[in-house]
Amino acid sequence: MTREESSGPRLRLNPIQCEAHGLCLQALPEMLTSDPWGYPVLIDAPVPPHLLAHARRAVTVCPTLALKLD
Amino acid sequence: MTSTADAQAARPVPGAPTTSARLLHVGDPALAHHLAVHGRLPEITGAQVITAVEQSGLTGRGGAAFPTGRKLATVARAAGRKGSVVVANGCEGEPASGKDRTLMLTSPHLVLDGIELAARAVGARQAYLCIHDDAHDVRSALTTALAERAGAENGSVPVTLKPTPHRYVASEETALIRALNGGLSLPAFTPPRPFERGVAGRPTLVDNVETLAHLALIARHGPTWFRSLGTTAAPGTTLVTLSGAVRSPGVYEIPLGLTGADLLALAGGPSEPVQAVLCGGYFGSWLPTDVFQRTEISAPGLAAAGSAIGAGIFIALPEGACALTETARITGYLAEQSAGQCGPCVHGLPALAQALRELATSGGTRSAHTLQTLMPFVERRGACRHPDGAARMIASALRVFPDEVRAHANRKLCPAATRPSTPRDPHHGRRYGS
Amino acid sequence: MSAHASTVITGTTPLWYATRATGVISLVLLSASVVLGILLQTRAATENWPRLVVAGVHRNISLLVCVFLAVHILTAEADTFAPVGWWAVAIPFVSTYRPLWLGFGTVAADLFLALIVSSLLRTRISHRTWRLIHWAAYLCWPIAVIHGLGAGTDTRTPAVLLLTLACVAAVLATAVWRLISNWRSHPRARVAAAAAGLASIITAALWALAGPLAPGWSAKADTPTRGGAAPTAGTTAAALALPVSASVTGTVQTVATGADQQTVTLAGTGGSDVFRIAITGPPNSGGGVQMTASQVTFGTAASPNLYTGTITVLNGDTIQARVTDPAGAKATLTVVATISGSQLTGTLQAIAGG
Repeated sequence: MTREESSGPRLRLNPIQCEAHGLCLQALPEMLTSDPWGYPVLIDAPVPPHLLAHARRAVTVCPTLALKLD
Repeated sequence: MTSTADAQAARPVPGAPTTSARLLHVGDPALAHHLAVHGRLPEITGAQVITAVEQSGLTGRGGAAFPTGRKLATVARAAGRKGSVVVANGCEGEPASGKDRTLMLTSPHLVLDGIELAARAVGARQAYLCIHDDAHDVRSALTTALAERAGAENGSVPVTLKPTPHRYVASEETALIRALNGGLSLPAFTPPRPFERGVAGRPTLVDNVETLAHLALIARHGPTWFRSLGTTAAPGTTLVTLSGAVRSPGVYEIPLGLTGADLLALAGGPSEPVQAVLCGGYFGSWLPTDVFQRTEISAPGLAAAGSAIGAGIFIALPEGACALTETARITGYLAEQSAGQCGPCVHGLPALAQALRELATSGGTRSAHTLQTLMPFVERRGACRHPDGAARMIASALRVFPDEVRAHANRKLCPAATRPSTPRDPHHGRRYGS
Repeated sequence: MSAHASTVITGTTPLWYATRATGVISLVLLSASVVLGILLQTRAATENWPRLVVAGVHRNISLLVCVFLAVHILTAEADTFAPVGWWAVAIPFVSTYRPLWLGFGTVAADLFLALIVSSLLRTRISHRTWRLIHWAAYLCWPIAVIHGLGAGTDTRTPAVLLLTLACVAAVLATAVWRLISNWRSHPRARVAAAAAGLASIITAALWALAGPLAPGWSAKADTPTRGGAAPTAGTTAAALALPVSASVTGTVQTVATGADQQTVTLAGTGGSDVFRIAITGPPNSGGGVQMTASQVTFGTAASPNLYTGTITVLNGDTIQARVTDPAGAKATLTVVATISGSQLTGTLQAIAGG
């Protein structure tokens, strides 16, 4: 049931909290793209080290704290 | 292995059922009749319950088909000092399903026995039985059954009836727990999963009422008896609801491993030529008739055919109906039933339903194209599996009816396109007896 | 600050200027932060100002407000001629100087502290909790504005008045836009908010016009309960009925009283009452003295020394003194003096208690 997670921090989205403000898309366009309705589509891969700071920023800037990094 | 349950019964139990009519009995739902047919609740420990269930190979009958023994063991392990909670799911959200209702009306005491034994297994001191708030007959049957048991055994786990809104997503396991915790009957974001943290923060076992009824019989007659019907990979019997173009639609108890043809015959055979069967309910997948008739009716059997058993729901689509219209109608229903919490589901399902409607009624390649573009954005992007089920059902329609899709895309509409055949009644299946 | 008063009375001028300046800047920055915060909520964005940038600027300006607010509070504290009292920094309405209007400042600062701390800890508290606390911004800002109008001595200065009006206009315009845009969602809440907002604006405007923006506010600001009308005339020699409120005229004299010491004496009459205020201390290079001692008398023409005491507040053109009569009854005397040359005019208020 649980897939083997390759090592590294991963982004997770709480779709109930997400209200498509879109700030995360601006903070981390390398890993987050918009669906037809403005909600973020996450790439299923760990966050590479050079994007970690941007990923953290995407997490803190979300107005509803829907994005998590673990 | 011999059934230890038999050895430890206080007095000989009347012979274990030998036919596939294990759960459903024509007769009196009263306690006295139940005791006469099934005997008293066996005095086995929680650990013995878990062992018996694990060895029986019982899987969840609510749709996920997860091994029940493993779930019991997990919750029992997580219980620790805080204790745990048992939640019996009697909310039959699927419109084309009637088995849980039939079971609770016919054999309420089997369900309650199952709850009691499950509570013993996971160390729970509190149990809830969730039913739809508009199922008055079920509610009164269960209330009567609970009252009958009230004086009888001390120390049994208190069972609280929890009326739940009659909505598709309200029967999702996190939605049940959220409601029991005082919140809305809407799915919650996981983690944490119910077996980790559920009602009042405690590890919670959520099981379908049919699963618990099977558990009650396994505890009495043992895993070997349970395995005497069904297949090795899918042992035991299961309740199914048959509807659509069959002569005798209704709820049936079948041994797992029958073929689809057997199943149709059980329901009196097709009432008109059948073009396809929707297996697993609105949440499931279409199978063309010829494939269906050969398919083994079990979780692994249907999975191998590219479908799923779900909660044992089978809807037969007659030749005269337009598969796209039916698919559009079902998608529209699922879109309406969205919890409304997650953008991709709230926006995506109505868009898919609209594209299907357009494809069915006016044709054209644009709507077919829209479907293909939108599908990936809907799957696996919600908090629960509701949009996934809808997408899977639509994908199966596109796979099983490619000729229809092509014809409609080229504006060659079938005559049935504007005449939906499956009933609009959302409580389709409710009036079924045993 | 009124230009004519500084020839006689000066406190620790640099600190007082710093307090007033940082106060004004804090208000401007706070207003900017509120405007950006509201814009964030309305999902406003342009090509060059993506919402990510607006969010970042909102955060940085708010942190800047912290800095200026801290300096504002510290300089107000350090300025001993306006004894705010350290407790008053956190607890409203206990300052001895203009307790009411300073109290508002304390409330605004407390609310602001809650906003900042909760926002710094945003990822550690639940989103709902953070959001609830952040609504306090709609309370913090107007209270800060009122504090500025009521406690500031610069209120009638055109520059400060204009700045305050600009801040208020900006926030109001943005708030109105927030209420109107997307008005279909939560219509009842929006109507209620609009009504409440309108009512508070009208009340505040009326209060501002009657209060801080009218002459003589500084004196009245010290006395939350205003005195009666004209002083009682024809009182007996030994009795002076309080409260008293009068216009005064008089003289100012500076005399050297020691090696590095001068005494400035203000003496005047108002109605049938007389007062005499003597301030002693080393002279200031720019004029006036740095007060080290003072003596105040207040009474009727027949008994000029009915009340005696010392100065408690010396600030700009305002002198506040605590005086007692022989029986021990206390009174608070407040004189606001405009000085030109050796002539003084102004107002006098005396209330019982203090």
